[in-house]
Amino acid sequence: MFVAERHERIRSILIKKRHIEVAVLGAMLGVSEGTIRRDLDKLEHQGFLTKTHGGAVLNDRIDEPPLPSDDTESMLADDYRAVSKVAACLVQNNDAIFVAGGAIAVNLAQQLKDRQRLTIMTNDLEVGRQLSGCAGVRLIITGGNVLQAAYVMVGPLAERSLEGVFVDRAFICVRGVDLVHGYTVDMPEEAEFLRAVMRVAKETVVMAVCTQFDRVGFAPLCELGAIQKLVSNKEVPDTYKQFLFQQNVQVFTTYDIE
Amino acid sequence: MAEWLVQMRAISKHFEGQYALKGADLSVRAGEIHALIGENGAGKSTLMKILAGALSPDAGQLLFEGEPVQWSGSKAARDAGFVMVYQEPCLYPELTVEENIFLGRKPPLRFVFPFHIIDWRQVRTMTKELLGKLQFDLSPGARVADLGLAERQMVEVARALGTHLRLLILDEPTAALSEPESKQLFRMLRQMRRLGVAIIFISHRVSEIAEIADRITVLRDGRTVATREANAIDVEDLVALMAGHELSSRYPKLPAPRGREILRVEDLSVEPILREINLTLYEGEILGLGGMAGSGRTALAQVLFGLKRPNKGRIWIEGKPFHVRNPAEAIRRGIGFVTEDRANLGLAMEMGTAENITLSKLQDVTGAGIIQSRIEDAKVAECVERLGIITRGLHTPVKVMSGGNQQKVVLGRTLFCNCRLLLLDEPTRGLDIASKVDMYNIMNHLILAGTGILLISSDLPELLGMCNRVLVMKQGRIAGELKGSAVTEENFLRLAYAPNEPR
Repeated sequence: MFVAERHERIRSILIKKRHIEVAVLGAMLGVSEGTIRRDLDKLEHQGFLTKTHGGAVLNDRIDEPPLPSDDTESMLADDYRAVSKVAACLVQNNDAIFVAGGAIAVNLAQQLKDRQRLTIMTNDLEVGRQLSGCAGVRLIITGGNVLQAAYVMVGPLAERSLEGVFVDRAFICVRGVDLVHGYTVDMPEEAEFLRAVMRVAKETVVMAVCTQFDRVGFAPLCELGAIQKLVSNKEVPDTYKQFLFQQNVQVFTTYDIE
Repeated sequence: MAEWLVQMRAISKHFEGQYALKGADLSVRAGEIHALIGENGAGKSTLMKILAGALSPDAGQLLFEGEPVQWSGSKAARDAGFVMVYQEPCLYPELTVEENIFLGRKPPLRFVFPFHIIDWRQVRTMTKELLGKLQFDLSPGARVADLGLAERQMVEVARALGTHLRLLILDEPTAALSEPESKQLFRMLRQMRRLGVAIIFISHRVSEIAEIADRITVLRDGRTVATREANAIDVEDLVALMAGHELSSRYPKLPAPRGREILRVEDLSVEPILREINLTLYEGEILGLGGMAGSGRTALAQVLFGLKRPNKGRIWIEGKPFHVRNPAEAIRRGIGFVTEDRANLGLAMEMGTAENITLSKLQDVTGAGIIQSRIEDAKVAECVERLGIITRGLHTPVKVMSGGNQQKVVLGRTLFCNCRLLLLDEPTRGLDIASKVDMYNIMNHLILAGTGILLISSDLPELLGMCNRVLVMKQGRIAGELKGSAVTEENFLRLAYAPNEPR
C-alpha cells in the first residue's frame, strides 16, 4: 500500500472510531509501528488528528464538509455501499417501495438493478437513471420542482403524484440524526415531501452512515422513534443503539463477515 | 420446581355474544404473589370469577393441583380453599370483627346443660390467634362499621384464612386505599405468602405490581399476552404489553434466503434430560430453542458440541453423519459454541484478544509448527475491526473488557474457525442494550453468509423477534414448533406451560 493510500485508510478509520492505538493500526495495515507513528505525525501536522500516548484521536471539526453526492469523497463511498447492501436485504420480490433522494439511495438503486417484480417509486433523478432499463423493475418517477444542486424533486407536484399510491417500504436518506432534534434534512420542502411519503408507506426505513449521528440539519423531519427501521454502520454510537431499541426501532448495522 | 397449585388453560367466556375471554391462561404456585394486569375490559375480573367458581367457562380447562375441576358454584371453590375478596367487602357492619369472621362457620361450642351455646371466650381467643398470625392490628370486638376500608379488607381476608385458605384472589384491592393503607395491605400479602397461601391480585397500576408481585400475567382483549417473572420485566415493557405494542418488533431480524440443510437430528436421547429429539436446521436460518429452565435446551447444544454423549440418535452435519465425541471434533466439523458463561466455557481470561481468537484454529497461523505472530496479529486485527471490538491492545488480558466486548471475542473465535453451524446459548444475557443490538446484527450477517444458527434464549421477545422458527422444549422433549406468523408469545406460552404429561 502506498503512503497516500495508507493515510486515506487511517483517516477513514479515525473518522469512524474517533481514536485508535498505534499497535492496532500497525496490525491492521500490515506495517511497523514506527511507520504508523510517522504517518500520524504527518496527519497531525495537517490538523486532522492529535497524537496521544500510544495512539491518536480525531480532532473535533467545526466546519464539516457537506454531505457529498455519489461521485466525490470516496472515503465514505465504501460506507454508503455497505449500508445500501444491508438496506437491499430488506427489499423482497413483489414489494412496492419508495426510494427518496440521497447518496445512499443511489447506492441502493444499484443494488436493486437485478431484482425481479419490484415496483420502485422515486423522487431522485439519479436513482431513476440507474433503474431505467432494468427489466425486473417497474419504475415510477414523481415529478416536481428539482432542488438546486441536488437531484431530488419536491413540492406540490411531487406530493400530488403520491395520491392513490401506497408502498410497503419507504427508504429515506437524512442529513442528521440527533437525540434531541430527531431526523433532519437540508431543506424544508424536502422535509415536507418526505413526511408525505411516510404517510403512504407501511414502513419507513432511514438509511444513514455513522458520521451523520449527532448532526443536525436545517429542516426537521421527525422524531427518532417515528420510523420503524434504521440502517447504518456498526460504529453508530451506543447511546443511539440503546435509545432506538427502547423506542421500538429496529437497528440494522453493517458487519463485514464473509 | 414447585408444582402448580392452579392452572387455567385456554379459558373462553362470552356474554350475550360478546367475548370477554378468548383463550386466557394463568398458572399460580402456592406461596406466590401473582399479579394479573391489563387495561379495563381485558377480562381480568371475569377470569377470576371463573377461578372462584362464581362463573363457569364456555371452554378451557381449570386444574387444581394437577386435577381438572369444575366448580358447581362459589361455595364449592371456597370449600377447596379458593376465596375471592371483592372491592366492596361483604361484611355485616353492625356486627363485630370476630362475629364476621365466624359467620357461616361452625363456631366453637360449649355445653351448658341442656344446650350447646357459642363459646365466646374461645371465639375471642381464636380470633386473636388468627389476627396475630396475620399480624393484623385489629381489635376482635370492634364494630365493622367503625373500621376503615383497609381494615375491612383485612377482616375479609382473615375470615377467608380461617377456612384453610389455599388461594386468595383480590380484585383491585388498592383502588380505594390511601398510600399508607396500600402499604399495610402489601405487608399483609407478604405475611400470607409466608404462610404458603397463593395470592392473585388484579390491578391496572403497573408500578404497584413491580413492588409486590413475584410473577405477572398480562391480559389483553381476553387473551394472555405474556407471563413473566417480575424481576425479568420492567415497568415500561409492562405498559407496552398492556397497550398492545409487540415487544418483538424492536428486534432487527434480517430476512435471509434459506439454503441447504446444515444440521439434522433424529431420535436423539440423553436419558433422562433429552428424549427423542428431531430437528432440522438450514443455512440462512436462525432456529430458536425455547422453554423453561430445565427443559433440556442447553443439554441439546452440549450434545451437538461434543460436551455430552447421547444414549441414542443420529446427527448429520451438512448431510454427512456426525459421531460426536468431543469439542475438537465438533470444531473440525464446523460447529461453534458461544455460551453466556464466558469465563468457564468461553474465554481464557488471562490471555489477550489475539490469543483467545486464535485458540481454536492454530493451524491457520502456524507455519512449520511455529506460531507466526505477525500473521496471527493481522488476522486477529481484521476480526477485531469487523466485529467492532474495543480493546486496549491485542494482547491485553480479556478479563478487563466489558461483557459485550468479551462476547464479541468469543464470536471472533468462532468466525476464525469459519463455522457453518453456530450454537448460541443465552448470547446476550447480561449485556447492555447497544451490545445486544451488535450481537443481533452479527447474527444477521452470519446467516447471510450461509451459517445456520441455533439460538437458545430465555429472553422471550428476543427469541420470537430474531428467529425464523422456534422449537418449544418441555421436560426434555420438543413440545411443538412455531413458524412464521404463529411465532407469538401466546402460542409459545401455551406450549411451554402446558400441564405435565404423565411419565
